[in-house]
Amino acid sequence: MHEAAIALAVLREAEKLAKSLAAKPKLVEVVVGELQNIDIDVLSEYLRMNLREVMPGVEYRITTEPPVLRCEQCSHEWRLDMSELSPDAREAIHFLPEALHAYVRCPKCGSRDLKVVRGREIRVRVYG
Amino acid sequence: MVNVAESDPRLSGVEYQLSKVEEVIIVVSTKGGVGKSTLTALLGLALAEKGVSTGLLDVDFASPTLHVILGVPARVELEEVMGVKPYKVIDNLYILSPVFFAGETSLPLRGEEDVDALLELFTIGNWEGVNTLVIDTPPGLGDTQLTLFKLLRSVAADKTRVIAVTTPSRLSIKSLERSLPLVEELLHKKPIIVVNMADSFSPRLRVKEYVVAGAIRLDDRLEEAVGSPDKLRMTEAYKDVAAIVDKISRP
Ligand SMILES: Nc1ncnc2c1ncn2[C@@H]1O[C@H](COP(=O)(O)OP(=O)(O)OP(=O)(O)O)[C@@H](O)[C@H]1O
Ligand SMILES: [Mg+2]
Ligand SMILES: [Zn+2]
Repeated sequence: MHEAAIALAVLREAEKLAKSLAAKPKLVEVVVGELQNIDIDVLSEYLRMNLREVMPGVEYRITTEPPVLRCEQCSHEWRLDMSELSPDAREAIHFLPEALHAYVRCPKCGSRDLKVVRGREIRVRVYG
Repeated sequence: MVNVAESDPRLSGVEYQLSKVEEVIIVVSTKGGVGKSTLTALLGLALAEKGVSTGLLDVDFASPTLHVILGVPARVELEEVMGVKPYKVIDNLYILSPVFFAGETSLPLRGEEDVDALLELFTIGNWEGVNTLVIDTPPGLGDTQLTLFKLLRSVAADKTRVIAVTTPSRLSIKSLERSLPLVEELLHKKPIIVVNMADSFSPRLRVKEYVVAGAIRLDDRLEEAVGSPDKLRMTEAYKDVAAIVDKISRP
């Protein structure tokens, strides 16, 4: 599963971040861009099972970030509704978010020359 | 006092995925159309025939062609295990290409997105069971190559090598010679030179102080072999690449 690979990367990254922290780590926050189309329940389950082993006593939280796109041709900015895409498109974008350029057009002018303003990445934050 | 730290977990993901392979070979050239993709495909076929489990990765997002050379369709079913497993071409040969996700459509990607797409492919590619990973790059020394070099230097420095391809054309050699010091500086590795579309003079070619690992003949039967691993293995070009593999293989 893609979620398992992400959970593993998140755990490894959180460990590294914890070392750079001056305080004792208390909370790991994972910010997931919705463009990644990650199954949050599955990711959450992986983190629940493994975090206590890697960082005992540390809580975790998953926050999602809705995708906002901007058209580079006409500057229109909008929030992408992932549920309006075909299952094929969602699957492709799940693996490779940049594949969205093959499936999504600007609702104003029809261009595929788009920029993802928000909601693409996954970030890990560790709070002390 | 810092009490919150943030970062992108992809680097850790890439490090994990690449920890599974024994060696990485990047194929580059500053000049376009000199035969990087052809060499990558033939290297894969030659290594596979020697019994080396080989993975091929196409990071030419503007114009992926590796799958075309090997006769792999753009739409394939990929198995989802700790990311995605690459597609099996033949025994010992696997491929991962952006076309598996975007289809045969050109993507309008700007530099930053090119880099994101590259990192994402490395994060999801599960090369478990693959010994040697060969990476086909777009022409030039731009965002893709710079990111790739930096990435591999930070997570797979000891196992990475780079092959720079040229034709015997003076333009191509000039372009190559100009680029080699920069490649070396960025990757901390001496590039291995391969001369493609070679004539009878090419084996004696000198490219500054760099090692020319071998030459691949100009082979007019290559075109009809495109799309078929079996036919590719019967070409003269393939034999030359197999000889190069013997020469650069680690003992
Ligand atoms: N040794 C050879 N003999 C004859 N034709 C060749 C040989 N090597 C490559 N070719 C042909 O030359 C063309 C360019 O090759 P190829 O696509 O591999 O180059 P490239 O460096 O990957 O190009 P690009 O820079 O666009 O990625 C193709 O049509 C290929 O079949
Ligand atoms: Mg090519
Ligand atoms: Zn528009």
